[in-house]
Amino acid sequence: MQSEQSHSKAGILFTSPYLIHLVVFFLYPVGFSLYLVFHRWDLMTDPEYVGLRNFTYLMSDHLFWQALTNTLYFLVIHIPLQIIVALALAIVLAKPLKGRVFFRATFFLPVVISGAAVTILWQRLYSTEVGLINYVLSLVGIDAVPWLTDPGIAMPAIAIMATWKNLGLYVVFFLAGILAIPQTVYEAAKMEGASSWHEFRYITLPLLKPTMFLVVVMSTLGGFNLFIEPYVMTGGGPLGSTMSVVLYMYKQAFSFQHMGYAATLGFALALIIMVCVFIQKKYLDSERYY
Amino acid sequence: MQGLELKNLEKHYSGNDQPTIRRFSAKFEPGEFVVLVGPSGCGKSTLLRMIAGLVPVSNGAINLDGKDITNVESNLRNISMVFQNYALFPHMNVYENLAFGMRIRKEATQTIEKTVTEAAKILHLQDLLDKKPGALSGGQRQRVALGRAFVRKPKVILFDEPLSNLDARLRIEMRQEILKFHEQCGAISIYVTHDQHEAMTMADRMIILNQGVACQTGTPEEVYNNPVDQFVAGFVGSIPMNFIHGRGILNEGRSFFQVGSYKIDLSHIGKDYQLDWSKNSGGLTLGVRPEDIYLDEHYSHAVAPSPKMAAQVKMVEYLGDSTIVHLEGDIGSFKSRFNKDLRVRKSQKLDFVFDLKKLHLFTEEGNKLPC
Repeated sequence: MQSEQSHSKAGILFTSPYLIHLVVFFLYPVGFSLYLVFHRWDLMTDPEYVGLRNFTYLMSDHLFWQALTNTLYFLVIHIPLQIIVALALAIVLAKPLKGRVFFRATFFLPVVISGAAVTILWQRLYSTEVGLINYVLSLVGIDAVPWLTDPGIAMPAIAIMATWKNLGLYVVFFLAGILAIPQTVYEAAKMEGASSWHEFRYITLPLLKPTMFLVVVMSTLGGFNLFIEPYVMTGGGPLGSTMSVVLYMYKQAFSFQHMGYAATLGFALALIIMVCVFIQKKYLDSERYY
Repeated sequence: MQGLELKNLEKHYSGNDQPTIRRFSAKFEPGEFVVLVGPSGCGKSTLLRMIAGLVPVSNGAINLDGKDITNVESNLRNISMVFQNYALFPHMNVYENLAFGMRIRKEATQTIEKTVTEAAKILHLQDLLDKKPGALSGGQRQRVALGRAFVRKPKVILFDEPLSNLDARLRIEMRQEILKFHEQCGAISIYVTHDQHEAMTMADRMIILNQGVACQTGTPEEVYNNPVDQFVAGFVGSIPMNFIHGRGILNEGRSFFQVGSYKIDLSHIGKDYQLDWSKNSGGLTLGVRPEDIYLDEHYSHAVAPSPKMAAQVKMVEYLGDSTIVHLEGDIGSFKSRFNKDLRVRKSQKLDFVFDLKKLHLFTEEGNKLPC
């Protein structure tokens, strides 16, 4: 009996760091946010119960809908761009090329650089006055493009930057997926007369479906959490064209002290993400072969 | 010439001092089942891949039915290959796996259906056509791999250790299936294995490969009974040949093999060795197969029994159909295969004889002396 008791004590002790972390940094904030959803709170006065008013406001808040549309627009550019470029790079880097270890490391580098630093770097690159990109364009006779100040271009510009930043991670995922496919499967296909395109279309792509699902889900999660890039580069402008849901939530919370409404936005976003991932799982998830 | 001819094939990999394949030449007749056998890393899979066109040839030529195919793309060589891990397309069902090549080559749907149905019938895959490889057993996957080779109606089928992933019992079953399949195809089959037992039981002809060089080519009987050197002698045989190291001596004009206190008159082995052993170091190796060792009381079974020798039993392996006895005596350690009815105990002392007509003699370099 005694040993059983000391066993359970030891168990609790060993799991306590995680349990404390879970309670303090996850369960409590989630619980408190849920409480805030039904309250109005400005950080100064006591929270005031408002029932479902935060939700009804959310439904009619055109700024929220604009932020959601912006975020979806970002995702529509970001996810396909991310997949195409990462997959192409992974295919090249899977080949026995000279210096591939160097390139693998180089493409991964932006992932480990701080988001704020990358954003400032790209702000300079996009600059109309001193930006490298516009300078290169000017060399071929193209007028300076107002990357971050034109409402039609700002979000794609941010999407390109975000893709560059996260690319390395997805290249690694795809690379792992490609390298897991046995070489003999390609050799068998080659002996049947498959061209490089056939190999890609009928072998690599279908066998990468599980990786593709992972990349799509992770890009979706990351994309919906778009914050640091518009926050640093554009502040949500021009004309609200880069205002993302998370940035809007942040502004509601810390610029306008609408903590209850910000919490409501957070829950709404979580719900939207769940629905998206569920749909992706239904259509993209498949058996794992290796 | 009809058939496949390999002329002085060589493969050099950059970074390797020694070529992986050295001046390999061989001819394969239509309908022949040839087994390439050798230890791991001897270059047999590389050679197969060179024939398949998956590995470029450094030197030499490959001719198929008189046509040089050395630099022809692998899919245009009319050669199929069955891989060790089957290399089936895991996301396609059996039908799609069999039809893959024909679909790539844009053959008519009716032709594809007819060919796949025929292959499925021959290989008993009819009920599995809509199953994916993951749902099949090892033997079934192997049959799908055979089917994929069959539907191409190739002139040459290459087998790269196709049974090594199967358990012992299934391996024996599949050997028969592969041989039956080979007869139905009528193609040249080149079969790579490191399992000499598989090689002996399946081959019309076997080629023993060591360090990229073909050591010996011949029927299993030829290779077993007349190995050209010590490597082949030691490699072929499910229980390897025993090698007893001793010296050659000349005594009153006659040659003897001496080990410990025993002297074996070499004139009994078959050839009169009037050699002056003192010219070299005199080191010799006597090769004797485990089944050519007899207990003293059974010596009458030996055509030409050697002098009686003594040894002690170190271990007994009862195999059911025979008994393997590990012995140690003045001549060193060796194994013998005895009748299943023999009852011996560990540490028991035995007298035994060799059958002198079945001994093999090798120089210190491993070359065989004529017997």
